[in-house]
Amino acid sequence: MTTTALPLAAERTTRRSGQARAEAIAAYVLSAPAMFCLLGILILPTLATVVLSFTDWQFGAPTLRWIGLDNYAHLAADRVFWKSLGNTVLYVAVVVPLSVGLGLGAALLIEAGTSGRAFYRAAYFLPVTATLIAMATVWEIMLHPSIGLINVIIDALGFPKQNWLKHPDWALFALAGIGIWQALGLNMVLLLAGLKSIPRDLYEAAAIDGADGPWTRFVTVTLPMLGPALSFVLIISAIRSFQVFDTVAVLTEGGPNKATEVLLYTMYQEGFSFFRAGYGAAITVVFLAFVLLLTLIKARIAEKRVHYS
Amino acid sequence: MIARRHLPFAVFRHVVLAAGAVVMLAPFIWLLSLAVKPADEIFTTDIRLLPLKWEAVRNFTEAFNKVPLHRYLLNGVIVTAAIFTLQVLVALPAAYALAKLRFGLAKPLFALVLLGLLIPGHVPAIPHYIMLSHAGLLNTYPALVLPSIISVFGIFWIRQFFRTVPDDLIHAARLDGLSEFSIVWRIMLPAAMPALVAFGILSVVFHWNDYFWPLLVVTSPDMAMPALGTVYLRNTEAGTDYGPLMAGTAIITAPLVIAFLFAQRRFIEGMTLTGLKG
Amino acid sequence: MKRRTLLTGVAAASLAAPALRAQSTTEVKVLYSAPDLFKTLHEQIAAEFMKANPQYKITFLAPLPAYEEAAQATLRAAVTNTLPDVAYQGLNRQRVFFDRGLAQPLDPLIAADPDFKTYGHSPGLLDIGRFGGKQLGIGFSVSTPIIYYNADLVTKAGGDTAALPADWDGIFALARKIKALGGATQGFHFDWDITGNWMWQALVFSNGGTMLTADEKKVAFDGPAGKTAINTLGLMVTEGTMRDVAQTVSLQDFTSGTMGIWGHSTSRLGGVTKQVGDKFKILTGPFPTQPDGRLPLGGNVAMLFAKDPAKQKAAWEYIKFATGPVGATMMVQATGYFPSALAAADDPKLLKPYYEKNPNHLVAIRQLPKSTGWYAFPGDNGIKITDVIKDHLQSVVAQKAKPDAVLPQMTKDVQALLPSQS
Repeated sequence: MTTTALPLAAERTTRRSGQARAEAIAAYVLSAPAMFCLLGILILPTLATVVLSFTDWQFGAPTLRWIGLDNYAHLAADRVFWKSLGNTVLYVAVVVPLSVGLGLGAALLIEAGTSGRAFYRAAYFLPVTATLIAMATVWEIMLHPSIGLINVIIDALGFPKQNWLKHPDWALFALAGIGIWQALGLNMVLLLAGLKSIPRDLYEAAAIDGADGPWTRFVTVTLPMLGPALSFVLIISAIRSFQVFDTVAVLTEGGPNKATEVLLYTMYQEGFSFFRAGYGAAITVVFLAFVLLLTLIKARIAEKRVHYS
Repeated sequence: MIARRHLPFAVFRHVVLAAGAVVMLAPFIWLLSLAVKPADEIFTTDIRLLPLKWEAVRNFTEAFNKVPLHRYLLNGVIVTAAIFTLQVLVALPAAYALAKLRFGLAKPLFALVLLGLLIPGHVPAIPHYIMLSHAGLLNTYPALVLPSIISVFGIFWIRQFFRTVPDDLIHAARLDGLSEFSIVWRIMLPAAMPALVAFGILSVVFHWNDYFWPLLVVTSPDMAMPALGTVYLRNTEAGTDYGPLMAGTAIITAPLVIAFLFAQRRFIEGMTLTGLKG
Repeated sequence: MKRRTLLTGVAAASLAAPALRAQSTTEVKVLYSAPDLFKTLHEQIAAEFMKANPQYKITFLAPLPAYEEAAQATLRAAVTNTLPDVAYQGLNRQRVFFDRGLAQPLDPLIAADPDFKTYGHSPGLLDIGRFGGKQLGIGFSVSTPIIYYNADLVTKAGGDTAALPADWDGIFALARKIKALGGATQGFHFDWDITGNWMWQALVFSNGGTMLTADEKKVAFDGPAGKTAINTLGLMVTEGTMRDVAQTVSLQDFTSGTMGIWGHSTSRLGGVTKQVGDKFKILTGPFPTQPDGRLPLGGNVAMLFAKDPAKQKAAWEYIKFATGPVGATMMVQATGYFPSALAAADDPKLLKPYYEKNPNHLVAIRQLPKSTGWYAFPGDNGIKITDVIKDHLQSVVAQKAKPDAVLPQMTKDVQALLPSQS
């Protein structure tokens, strides 16, 4: 009896290991293009950027020198870099709370009634899909110092017209306004999904406990339940707005006098306009560090969400 | 939330939402309004929605005369279609392997994918530019397409989706004698349709609207993508011919806007992925 | 049977045709900037050229917004081996191509060409394209800074259109009177932010100063001429009613008849005159200069970058045509620039009638005797220096800093970017 069982078991194992090998080979073949592209297009060039940041290479120069942390030392002493970083952080600090707050308000109001939901959702989301460069061109005319729609309205309300995009104090906020306009719809839609997932019985339970008014409902049920989604949306908004480039490149070119200079634009200027590739790479590394930090925070929040749900 | 609301609140809700909608839609409405106005009605503080003198024909023909608008749209279609197709060709098999197959490098590969998710698109730009220039590929379709064919988000997203596909489906296919390759394209691809549609919209919208990369690699008027083309149009106008500028901008913006209006739900689904993508 | 031979015939012909065409047309790739000024013009000139020379094909690269960007694009193209055959570069952007040996000398082509001498190029203007004893650029469109006046507003404000102001104080006083007319009327604007700090050089040179010392090692615009220059800029805002607006806005203000006085290049004169039509009368006046003052020439030259002999020949024919009397006539009638082939201006068959009908265009030409080159800073940081100067001047115009505080800082920043300073 035992003599016949063993060879059968052994046959099954060899068959299974044969299958396993075939599966593994198939897996390697199927994932080969992705592995190849991942390394060649993403990982290695990113490493190349980091390495480049330690050299003095000028685009087009025949040789380069290893200069260690010199580029970073120059960055630390570069007035423009600090202004750029500061502007970027300020831009994020303005766009995130406002685009998320207004998005939340819109989501709450839309969800609070049944009529017109599809229309409002579409209207608020349209700016998200439209080509930002094209709409920025329209915004530029709307912000025109004398004939712009915004200024004409302001003038009619009795306030002085402003040269928004050329004003050293207001230009960055004008760009932030456009950024909020563009981001609001996306945040709203993400929060709508979050609102829809709040179980109805929680509201009923709260009502039974006496929390029946709209504000108390909001504070005791909606806000806490929305917490994880809200933090998620906040961090996503931060990551996206940190990468602002289009409106700066087309409307202000970092001006007036670097008032709207932002990190990605400085990287573009130094790396491609001024040909200082090594220096541009150093700025890219700083940019990467910031986004990495924000993304890691996002990953933490995402984990918490999974636990919550 | 149960909408047990009284009339005053319904009115309040509509008033506030409508006011917000006006602000959201104002640039689009104004774009169309300026696109059909003559210069003296644009350069005035007399604000009117409809023009007194209809200048649409002149504005739109001028726009087409100034720059090859049709090329910008055509390039948009060709490049985004090529990118999405190649993204799927690269990502789908890998996602299947990571989700359903067992192999030694599975964990390290997935770790690399997660690592890739942390890298924003602009970071490898300088080396990409250098590589493409050495290959003599600047200002070509490959230059616009190649850097984007690896979508780590695509791999991640499709893998997550595949993990919800029941293993029995695959075992049955294997028993039927299908190779892994056939399983990927005959079984998994159709099953992944919803995820692919959302990802497709995300990819197309992102690359259609991209300005940064075409700005770097395009030098011929005929190779421009929609966003870059808008800037070319803007440069050709001396600051006094806003009518044609707005007309051209309207044409460039139209495709995505129209597509969105026709497939709102899909668009929103797709675009919310930007949240996960970061 | 018949159909198949017909189809084969068509197929063969269509396969052969591109090959035939490739043999007979040489393509010349051309780069230029400021499409708002030049796109239609360049396309017209190219069309005329190709009509007369069907064996050549002119293809234009995507035009850049201004001279800075054109220089950067060309430098980048040199690295990526995608140089155009011909590129129109700003006068101040020729130097970097000489320094890096990228521009091809035109002397052998000129020497072998008997036609060229008959084109009437002004020797003085040809000089602006000479570097190291070689002819690298031939002027396509040349300019000097001038002052535009809205004659109707000047008269309304009580000014004398026959005796336009000769100095800045006069201009500021007239501007104040015009602004006082009220409503949306603006007095004056000076496009100080024209590419390459051209107007800054105009202010400094017109006061007898220079950008750097003669040995090009030290900044010289911190001297008395520079001080006067930056103070004038400050006074434009405080006494000349100038606002801090973009060039597109000042252009709109002038062409819509809202603004009285406009300091700008003569380049836009043609376009603006056409656009204004008979809305109001335009007059032009000279740029205020001291007796020992000079003015920078502006505009662009055609430079050769092709190395292949066949391409060079084709490119040279095109350059000759575009900068010669035929191209010059088209150019002058489309813009406000004057040509390098100045003889065309006196030719009754070419431009003489045009200048007689449009005397405004002559103001820029009359300033030629006191003109000098558009200065290009030595070294690798030329484009960055332009950016740095622009930012400092912006703070004066925005009244964020006082002129006498800005000048020393600007001097320091530029000095740091000159070669062999690190």
